[in-house]
Amino acid sequence: MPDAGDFERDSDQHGTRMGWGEAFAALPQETPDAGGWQRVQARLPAPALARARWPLWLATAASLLLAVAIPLRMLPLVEPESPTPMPRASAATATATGSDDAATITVAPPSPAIAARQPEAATQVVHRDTSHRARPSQRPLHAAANSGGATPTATAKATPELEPLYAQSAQLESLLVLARDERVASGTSAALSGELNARVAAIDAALSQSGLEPQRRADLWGQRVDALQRLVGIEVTNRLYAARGQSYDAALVSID
Amino acid sequence: MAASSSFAIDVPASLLARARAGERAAFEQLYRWFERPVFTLALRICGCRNEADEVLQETMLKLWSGMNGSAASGFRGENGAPFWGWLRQVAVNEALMRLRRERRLSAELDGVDVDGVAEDQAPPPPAAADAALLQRALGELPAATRSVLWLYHGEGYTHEEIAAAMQRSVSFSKSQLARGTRRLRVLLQVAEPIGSAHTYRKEQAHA
Repeated sequence: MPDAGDFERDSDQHGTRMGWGEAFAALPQETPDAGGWQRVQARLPAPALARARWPLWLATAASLLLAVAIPLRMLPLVEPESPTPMPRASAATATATGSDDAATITVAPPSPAIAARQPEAATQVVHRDTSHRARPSQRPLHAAANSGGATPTATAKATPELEPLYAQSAQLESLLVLARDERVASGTSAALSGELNARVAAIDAALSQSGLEPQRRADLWGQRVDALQRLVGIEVTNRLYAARGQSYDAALVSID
Repeated sequence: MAASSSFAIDVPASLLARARAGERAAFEQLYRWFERPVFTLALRICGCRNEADEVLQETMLKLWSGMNGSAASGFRGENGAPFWGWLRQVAVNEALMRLRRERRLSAELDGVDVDGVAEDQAPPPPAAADAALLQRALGELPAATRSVLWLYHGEGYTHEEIAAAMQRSVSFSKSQLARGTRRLRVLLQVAEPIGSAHTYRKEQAHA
């Protein structure tokens, strides 16, 4: 902070404005009250949902669930009309094992189309503690395909092609919710995961634009599924390494 | 001067691109970087923390809509204009609009003579170096006068820019600056300790 003598000397050399300008610039910046970002975020068009974190006691149950879920993920795309048993089964198991957690999080399906076929999935409840890590993003609603500038005919043509992608995306998201555990995340995996989350968010943002071409929409959904698959892969690998007492970071650099 | 503005943060083009793509994390980073400059500017203009907080919220929401193309006045970066300059203008407009909405500008400025005050060329008094005193003195000025002083001295705006932002004449800006500076000088007249006054006189004698 300049002292008075500085102001006088500056004033002599550079004029009056310099002195007042420095005095103003030396004033400390004010800090707003905490929670400003949360308030802004709540008012944004599509606020991100909080991602739940696994309680410690569910780790064992989760490992068992993953043993079932991973092979399911490897299966070909499900038929649009067929139910997706994995998320339902997983959520049901998690609910059954939950007992004394303070918070309750409803896992909603990402797409209204999926919800329509699986009304029960919309009310699946998983007990776990909460954290504020963002989900990959607000899911671009299936209905968005109808809200844009696309003609009804084009939309009608595009929807059947996208159905498998919607279903697979929903399946992967359900799996991701179950697989993710920040307590076992390493720096590297957290960075990779964050990058993929950002990618999914960017894809979601692109999907929310109105007037998307059907082909472009299909490409974006394909990219979304691909990103989610990689995200699930990282989270599952993370948990497996943690269960074996190993580090994901060490695994990346070890040469056997 | 503009260079001393707390807004003068060079934002990487990649971060702006990510925010434009709707990435929340990038937008949050922009929020964190500019939270304090926007809040400080709003507080200097409005003089109230609650109002400054509202200005911060509205400015950031306009930033979001501007970045994502839904606002007609969104940031385009034409002619190499820095992002921070655009954001600062949004914050200034938002704060001044709030004053106008509450009729604080018109109530204070009714009957103010815009031509009758000569420019104050004298240097700031030594007490201006005391941040607490200067803040208190600024707080006692009318909002319009304080806004002109802050935009001119704190943010480096020209009289033309101030006149445009406040929807007044250049004469108005000059007049408010002169009046405000004199008023500030009066408010900052505090009894100095003997030693510092003596040193100050000695410096003046040697200058």
